Amino acid sequence: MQRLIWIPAVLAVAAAVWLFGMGGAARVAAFAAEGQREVQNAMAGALRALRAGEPDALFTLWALCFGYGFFHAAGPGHGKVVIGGYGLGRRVPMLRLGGLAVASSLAQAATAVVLVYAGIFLLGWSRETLQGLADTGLDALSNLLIAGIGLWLLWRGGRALWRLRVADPALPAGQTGGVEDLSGLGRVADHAKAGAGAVCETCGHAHGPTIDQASEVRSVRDGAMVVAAVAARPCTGALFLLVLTWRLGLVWAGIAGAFIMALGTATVTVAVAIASVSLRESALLQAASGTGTLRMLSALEALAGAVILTIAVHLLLR
Amino acid sequence: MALAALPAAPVAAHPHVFVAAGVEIVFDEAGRIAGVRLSWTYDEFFSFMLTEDLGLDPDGDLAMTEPELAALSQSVLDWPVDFGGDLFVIQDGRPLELGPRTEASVAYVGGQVIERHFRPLEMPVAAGTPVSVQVYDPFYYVAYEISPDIILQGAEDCAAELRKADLNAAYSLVDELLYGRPASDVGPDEAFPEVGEAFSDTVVVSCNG
Repeated sequence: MQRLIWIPAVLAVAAAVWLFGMGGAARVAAFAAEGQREVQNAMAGALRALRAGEPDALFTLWALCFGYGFFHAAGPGHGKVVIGGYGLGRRVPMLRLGGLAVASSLAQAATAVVLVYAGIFLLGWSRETLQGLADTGLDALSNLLIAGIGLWLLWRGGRALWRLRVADPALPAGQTGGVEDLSGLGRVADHAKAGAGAVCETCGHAHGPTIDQASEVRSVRDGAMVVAAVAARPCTGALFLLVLTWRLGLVWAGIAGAFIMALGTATVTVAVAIASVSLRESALLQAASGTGTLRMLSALEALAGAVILTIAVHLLLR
Repeated sequence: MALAALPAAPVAAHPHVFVAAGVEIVFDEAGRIAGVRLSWTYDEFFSFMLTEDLGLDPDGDLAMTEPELAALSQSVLDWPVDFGGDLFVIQDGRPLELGPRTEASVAYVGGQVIERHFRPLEMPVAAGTPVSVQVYDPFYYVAYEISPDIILQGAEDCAAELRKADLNAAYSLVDELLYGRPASDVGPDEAFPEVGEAFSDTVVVSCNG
């Protein structure tokens, strides 16, 4: 088991090296833009066929929606920052973070649907108004929420570090060390297998609530925050699709398409979730013993918070 | 540009509208570059959205009546006051002044909206020193790609070379501008400063003599 957890981590590191060290990100982004253009053109064809009364085109349209979501998410996007940053910053089981990734994407589609239909029916907005709102107002809101997550992680990580510092002098010197404490390796590995709900009982000293305990209590609130930060800013592509299908009288085809688009997006964010959780878990294995691990986890949390906050502030001040 | 369809402050990090740009360099009798004739062919999805928005071509036969085409033209040619035309002509690192567009027209071909116009240079220039022509949206909401068939109209002993954008460099620039450091543990993000130029293809025109 301990070895297995390295596999996704090694893959994630290799992917990160390729992406950010070897110009891979540029190639992915270029590929994503190219893919999006092609999918976008094909979607127009499918929509025209649907209007011409070819029911088969519905499945073509939905398949293209999935592709659009995938290409769109493979390009630059805030969803990945939120999910990846949260997964690095907090001890979240892979399944739960993957679930959060899917939920955020679906919620993002729901925002687009509500925005378009509430806007059109209740408020009589034009497409320009809708688009302007999504691209400016909601964009800012989303960035504020992301900044909130960053601050939250930073604050909690910083507080945990402070407590560890306070607790430290009471410990025997040997226990504060990290890598050399081999017995700790097994403990942390067991701990890792036990999942986020488990409490590190073998750590053996009082250091305030552990991150794991905290995560149980706060995970629901955290999850809501992550979903809200992603969902607040609907994808312009989904808005285009919804407005167009509304004009064409293909309301349900469009709404389903928006959610399928979200599933396409989720394939990428789930991959980011898996990568971030495995990176974190293997980092856990490396830093072995109680206090060392806790300190590293807290530092990681604070660091992830700082990174997320920096990005959000950048986006807000732009 | 059908910019009425775009947000007042475009902030997208990735393009939502794709345009194939046709470039024709127009020379005067003295052999100087007098201006640039552009054609912008919008992608099918965006074109479809424009025409549906205006309720045009309701039977979807990809043909428009005269009044429909007039309505489309009016909408597409109605540039917002702050829209500069996404055309940049540079010589010796210096941007050349462009006059207002003339000969503006709109066509609807195979379900795609095509916008055409001519932008004169305020002062015609000789292209003994090479002249660069770029077509880009500074905010990269619209991704233009210059078509390879560049026309040199009325030119003598001149050549045009199309240099494609260096996307690797462009995305690195985005990362550095956005995060103040090279690309590292986070990807590029939702919005970025004016980086469209980095994504721009460039036509380099040079003449002998």
